[in-house]
Amino acid sequence: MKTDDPSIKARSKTLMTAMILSGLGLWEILAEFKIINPFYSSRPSVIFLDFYRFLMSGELAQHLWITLQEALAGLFLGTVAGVIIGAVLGRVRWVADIFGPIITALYGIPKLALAPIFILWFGLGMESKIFISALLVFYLVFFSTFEGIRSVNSDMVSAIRLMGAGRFQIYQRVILPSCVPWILTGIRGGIGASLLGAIVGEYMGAGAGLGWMVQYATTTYQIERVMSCLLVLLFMGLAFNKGLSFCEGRLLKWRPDHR
Amino acid sequence: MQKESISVKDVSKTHALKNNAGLNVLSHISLSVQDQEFLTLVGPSGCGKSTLLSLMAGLSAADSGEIRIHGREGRAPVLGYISQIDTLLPWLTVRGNVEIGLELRRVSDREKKSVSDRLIHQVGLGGFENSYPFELSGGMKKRAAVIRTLAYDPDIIFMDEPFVGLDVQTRDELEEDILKIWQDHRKTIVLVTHDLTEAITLSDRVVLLTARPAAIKSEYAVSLPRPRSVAETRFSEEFITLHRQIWQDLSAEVTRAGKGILHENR
Ligand SMILES: Nc1ncnc2c1ncn2[C@@H]1O[C@H](COP(=O)(O)OP(=O)(O)OP(=O)(O)O)[C@@H](O)[C@H]1O
Ligand SMILES: [Mg+2]
Repeated sequence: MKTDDPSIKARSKTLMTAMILSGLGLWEILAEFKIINPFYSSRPSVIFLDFYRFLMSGELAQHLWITLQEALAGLFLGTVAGVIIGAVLGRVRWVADIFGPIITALYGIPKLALAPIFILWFGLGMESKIFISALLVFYLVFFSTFEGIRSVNSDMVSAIRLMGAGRFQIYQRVILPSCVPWILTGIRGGIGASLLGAIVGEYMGAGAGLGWMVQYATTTYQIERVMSCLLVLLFMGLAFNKGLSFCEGRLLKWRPDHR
Repeated sequence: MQKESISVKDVSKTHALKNNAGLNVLSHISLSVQDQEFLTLVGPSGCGKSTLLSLMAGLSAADSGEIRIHGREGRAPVLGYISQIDTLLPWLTVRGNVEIGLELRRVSDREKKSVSDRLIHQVGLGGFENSYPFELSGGMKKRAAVIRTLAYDPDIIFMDEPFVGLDVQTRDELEEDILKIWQDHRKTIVLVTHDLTEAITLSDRVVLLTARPAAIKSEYAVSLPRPRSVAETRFSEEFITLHRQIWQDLSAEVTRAGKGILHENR
């Protein structure tokens, strides 16, 4: 189904807004009549008021900046490592034979459960969160890059080799470009993972950041603050995805489904 | 004085199959292609034509026998290979694809552009320089694949059923292009096709392979005068006689193979 028709697009936008607003309205009413307890889940009016204060006091920007740096650094480092290691393992048989099983075995360990250890290793600052975040991103990007390299069209490779391309040129001209869609798929998953890594790392031990704020607000029963933080995280995720879509639009012009 | 371009001596090839069995595809093939000769291989489907072509191009190794290109063994100098399937790079535009061979050679931008402009217009792709392969029709892709190979000026070009799946008019046009290209550039060309009309129209010599394992069954010299044109050649006395003869021999071979269809799409 294509929704290129602007009138259909506008209509679904309106419908979406209406649904969100009525959901919020319902929440407010249910809280007003104590059908759901605002102590545990707060209510939209209070949340927006808190959000406004959070924003105006400058606290929001301060915590957001920390979490943003952690997540972006994690996303960047995890992606770079994932692409490089995925590319090497996908292409060099013997390296894959040695390191492939190790990487896959380590993948089985629930990485978030190790967060306390990483905090012990890297301290309470941003480094530990960046590490957790990068680790989560790494696996997603690594697997999809590896898969992408393995599924490179070998006829294209031979065609370019016959034209006189050397090893490096084959890599640069055929293998990497054909992996771009795969890498982008990995990064799309990595966006969520990078935020998750940063936030969970902050739960485990930190002095600032949105995750720390959520943790702190929960222990002091400021549910509206928790909700405000979730709202910020929601927008952060949306912004990351928008940024990626923009990159995809530029990088994947050559695909029939990307216009 | 004729010079030898490709020499195939007593080459055999067995494809390894999953169940450890082997499929004997080529059996003691010897073949010599002269410099600037246009040679066509025909034979029943699945007999080993593509396999032979890929051996000559150095894409895979023969089990026994030897293949020399310009008198030398091993990886050939610069080759052109237009395969049965589409290998245009989908992330490059038509221009990018046509220029890729030159780019690998670090040719200057000015020269790249002049070569690609000339070729793109020669085959009527003008206006599509900046289109991606998915935006082209099947015939346009084939044209792009052909000129991509011409752009870097290889001495030898292999073509594996380059025009299969195209309508008759487009094929005729492309064949006309090939005739003209051969006339202008005098390449050594080895073509694989199921289309006897195409084989006779384009080549100096047609080699008929037997059913699998392929061996050389017979050869036919085509002495139609050059420069040729697709339309005129087709109705000449010699063409018709030759066509009938090759067709009969090929039919016999297909029947002997007991399977496969003779693709006579004209
Ligand atoms: N890589 C391979 N591994 C195993 N068997 C193969 C391989 N490539 C080809 N074959 C087999 O070898 C035989 C010859 O294949 P080939 O592609 O050379 O035939 P062909 O004459 O080009 O056929 P067509 O006219 O249909 O293109 C076929 O039976 C095919 O199944
Ligand atoms: Mg074939």
